[in-house]
Amino acid sequence: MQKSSTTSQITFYLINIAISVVIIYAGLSFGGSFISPFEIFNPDNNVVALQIRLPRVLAGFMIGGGLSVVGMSFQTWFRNPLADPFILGVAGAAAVGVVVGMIFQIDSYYLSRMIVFTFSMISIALIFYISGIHKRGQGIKLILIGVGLNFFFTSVITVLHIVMSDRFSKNIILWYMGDTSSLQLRDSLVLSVFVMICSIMLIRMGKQMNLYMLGDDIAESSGLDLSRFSMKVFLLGSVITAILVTFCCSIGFIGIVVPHIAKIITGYDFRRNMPVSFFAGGIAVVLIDTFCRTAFFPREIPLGAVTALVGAPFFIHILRKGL
Amino acid sequence: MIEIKNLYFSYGADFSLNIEKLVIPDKGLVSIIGPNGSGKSTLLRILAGLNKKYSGSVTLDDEEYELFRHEDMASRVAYIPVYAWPDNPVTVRQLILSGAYRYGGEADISEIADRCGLSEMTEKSIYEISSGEMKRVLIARALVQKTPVIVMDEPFANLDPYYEVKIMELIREIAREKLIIAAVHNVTIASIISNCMAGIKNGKLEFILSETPSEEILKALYGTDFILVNGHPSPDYFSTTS
Repeated sequence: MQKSSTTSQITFYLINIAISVVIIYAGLSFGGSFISPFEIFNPDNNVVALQIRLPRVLAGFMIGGGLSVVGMSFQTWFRNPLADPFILGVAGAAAVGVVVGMIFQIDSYYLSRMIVFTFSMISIALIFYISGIHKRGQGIKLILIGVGLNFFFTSVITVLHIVMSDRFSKNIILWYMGDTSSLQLRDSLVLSVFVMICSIMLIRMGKQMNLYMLGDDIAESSGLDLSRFSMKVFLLGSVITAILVTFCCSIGFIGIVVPHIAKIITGYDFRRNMPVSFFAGGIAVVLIDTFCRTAFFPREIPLGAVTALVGAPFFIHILRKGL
Repeated sequence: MIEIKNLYFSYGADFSLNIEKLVIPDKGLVSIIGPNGSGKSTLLRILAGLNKKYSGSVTLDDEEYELFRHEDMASRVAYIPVYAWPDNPVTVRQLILSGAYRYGGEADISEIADRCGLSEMTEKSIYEISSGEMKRVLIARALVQKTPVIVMDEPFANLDPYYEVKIMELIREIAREKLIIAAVHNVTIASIISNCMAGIKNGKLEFILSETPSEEILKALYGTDFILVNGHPSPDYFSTTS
């Protein structure tokens, strides 16, 4: 019994990894010009396939995977199907960071990213201290604090919109749509490693999520340390979101919708639907991004602008009809 | 053996639980009775390790509750809430299996499911079962946890007579090998199956008796008349007919 379930577990991961690799690989072929899959490692195609497309495709996969896992974890933790990775205001804080960078005219790529990351981390720390995450039944309070923070940050940005120039306004709107086209390969790799490690740590909490979902009393009396659990979900989820927001800006929709699709596919065992969520999210974003890079060439369509455009009709369709 | 000394817990300004001394033996059924809002559930939550904000001392086999980690507590005391509302429609099997969390792995639940009369419905969604079935699922879950002590909050709430009798039998059987502490509103049932009954009122322990409590004691506890039916006290429902 134990052995066969381990085997099926390995098969499950191998199949998912294989599909993901194929999709990522296909993503390198398509774009402004088609490169045959057999020619990708040809030195002539080095710049286009590996320097330009690879960072973007890889980041796309991590955005989809990371945000979906965080979305699933937050929906479970808050016991709220509408929760998403940005519910605690991380994206709003990051946007303020972007604005601060613009105001002080910081041109250095890394310095401006550092500012964005610092702002998101500050908002995470703030929530951590004012909400008492470790206490029981704080879900609603946390969400409301997040809503409050989001409005606050939006307000800061709106006021600045009016005061600042048009170019500034356009830049911030573009930022909100999410953009992966300017990513360097090195950044994309670093981002992928961090997002992957944190996502694996979240996915490994599947068994605890199964218990948590049964209610606080049942979970705690069965041996789950609720405050530790909350802390881990909060920190891992926030760090993934902060990293993604720093490098790829704010990309909505995926983190709220993919978890629901994963639940429709695999049911309510979190040891299964967490990893499915990761792979499905990653694959979905790479597919959407690849399609847009190919169809709209040479225009660059920001990723965040199209995820919902393509994803929403699909989502409504499976809610109505099933898969 | 569970021992309570100088237990004090307050909930806002209006309610406090205050028990000087209570000793609970190793096996059998101890029923906690008393009016609504008297502190039964609060006491149970403390005994289940779910409420740690009390002062005083609660020990299990001479070990302080405060020193138990979550896993230690889960290996000693299982808790059955009045009702469970999982966020997602898991199956009966999944809910029962969650009792095995602390020792991990896929426990074999077929024997316990059988004992609780659930073997036919383990694949059903818990959104499809009745409240009587849910009670038994929660009892099965607690049995899977393999603890020497089970704390039950109102195991007889919302049950029809058929399930009342079924669950009385089940609890009686379990109480032969484990300690069960249960909050019970139905005094007649409590009197029939308990080894020991503790009465609580306004957060204070009024009595603890191993024999059937008299009608006078119960009237003092609840403020309503009791009569004896087959040697067991029952509220005097008939007084309302005249």
